[in-house]
Amino acid sequence: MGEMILRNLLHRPIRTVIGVLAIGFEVMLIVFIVGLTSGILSETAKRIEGVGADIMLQPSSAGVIMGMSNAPMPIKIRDRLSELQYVQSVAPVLLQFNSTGGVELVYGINKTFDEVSGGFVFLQGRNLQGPDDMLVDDLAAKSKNVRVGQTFKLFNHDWNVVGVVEHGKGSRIFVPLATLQDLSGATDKASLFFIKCTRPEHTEDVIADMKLVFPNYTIRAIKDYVSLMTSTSVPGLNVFVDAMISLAVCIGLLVIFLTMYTTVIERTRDIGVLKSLGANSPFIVRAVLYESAALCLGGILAGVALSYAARAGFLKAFPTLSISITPEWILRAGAIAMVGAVLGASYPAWMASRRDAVEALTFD
Amino acid sequence: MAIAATIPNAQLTEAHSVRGRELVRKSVEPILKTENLWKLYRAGKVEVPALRGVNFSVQPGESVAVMGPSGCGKSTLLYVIGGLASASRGTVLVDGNDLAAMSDAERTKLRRSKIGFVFQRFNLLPTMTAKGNIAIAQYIHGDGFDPHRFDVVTKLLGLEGRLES
Repeated sequence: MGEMILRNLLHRPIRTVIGVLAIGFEVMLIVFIVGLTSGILSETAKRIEGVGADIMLQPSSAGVIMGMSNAPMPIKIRDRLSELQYVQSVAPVLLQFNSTGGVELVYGINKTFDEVSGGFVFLQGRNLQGPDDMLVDDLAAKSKNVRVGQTFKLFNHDWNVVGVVEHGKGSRIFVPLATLQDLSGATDKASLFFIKCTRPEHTEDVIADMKLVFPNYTIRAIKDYVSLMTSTSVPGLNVFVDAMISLAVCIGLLVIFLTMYTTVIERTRDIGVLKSLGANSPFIVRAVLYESAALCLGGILAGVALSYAARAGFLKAFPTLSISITPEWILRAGAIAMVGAVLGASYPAWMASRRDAVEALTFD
Repeated sequence: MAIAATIPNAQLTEAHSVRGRELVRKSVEPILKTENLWKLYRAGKVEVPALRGVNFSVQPGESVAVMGPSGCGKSTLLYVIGGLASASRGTVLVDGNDLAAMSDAERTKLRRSKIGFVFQRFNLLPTMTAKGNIAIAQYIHGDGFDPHRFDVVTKLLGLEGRLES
């Protein structure tokens, strides 16, 4: 049967290639979308973790994805946080979206950020000093082709790039807190506070105290926040991922259905021959389903190759992106595609098995 | 027109086998026997009879030719006695098995083990080689690929040089 399936697939190479590419597109869509969302979230989580804080405090309306909220809080909160037992330092940060040349989050920081994070690792230049100074991380510098000494326009304001720092500390672009507050009309406001405890073991104690003082705020331990940053646990994002997977499955299912349907129609006489040889209905069903599965297998391999090619292309165009292609999701996408292929081929297989042998033999 | 009208039953029920020059009459159970065999096709609301009460029998080893004008029901008769189509009425006994009383699956099983077809059109699987066409039949029979039997059959048919075509 294996030879028959192989020869059937090779008999119509264009149709087979289209089928393989469609399944490949399905697999790529799943792997790539999940990889992109997981990659961005995981990379964001790593950067938040890289700040070095133990706790963060946000307004109650803030979502899991920190960038989704820039709701300001009074900066005086910092003073009350600093008074709590076991709190070593508190860094207020004002977040501002920049959607020019790609979506990114800009951090407005002051010197306390260094106290919490332990300071930046400078690859070039120096730290923020003047009101118009700007720091970029190495990836942002590469993607935006920015160097120390250049002027960079952001939020309709000219900034002096004074340093390039190693990536991994919250954002890719840092500007003085006071200037960003002025530009965004959020004087004496902050979007979040990073809190560093005197010892990591005191994190739970500090959180308990904070909840008493700030009952209406969102308080998260950084390690909990990192574990929350997955595409399946972020509200809305998991719906988006599910929708994209469903769309991909629909594409694959319909293509397989159409491919196998036309195959069965075209091979009506062959089905009659097989029946005259004594092939029973399960044999005919198996032949169609195996052919569909073989087509799908080729599509899965093509999909994996397409996923890596798409990732390479995207990373070349957008170096700051993070796309995480994992074996787990390759297997999941393959399984989803295979189930879709079998489902899509089920009706044509059933139709072929039910075909009257005499009618099939006289089919032209 | 039904096949019974064109083939006298008397001619078909006689069993003969040829051994050398001697014609021997045998009194064994027929390998194939039909009794009052009917096959009706439906064209819309009208039933068109293709076979009307066909009665004949074939003894083991006997060769029988069915002759008649186009449309008289020769192919239908062969489809029914070959188990590819079901009879509308009557009985078809193949080696003692009543095809008319069998389910489609049972007829398929019988067809696989006891009946072979040589079609007017070759009806080979076009995507496969000659070797593949023979091998798939072996596969369907459930015997797997038997290289020895394959060699015997291909030599018998003189296909040794054309297996990959």
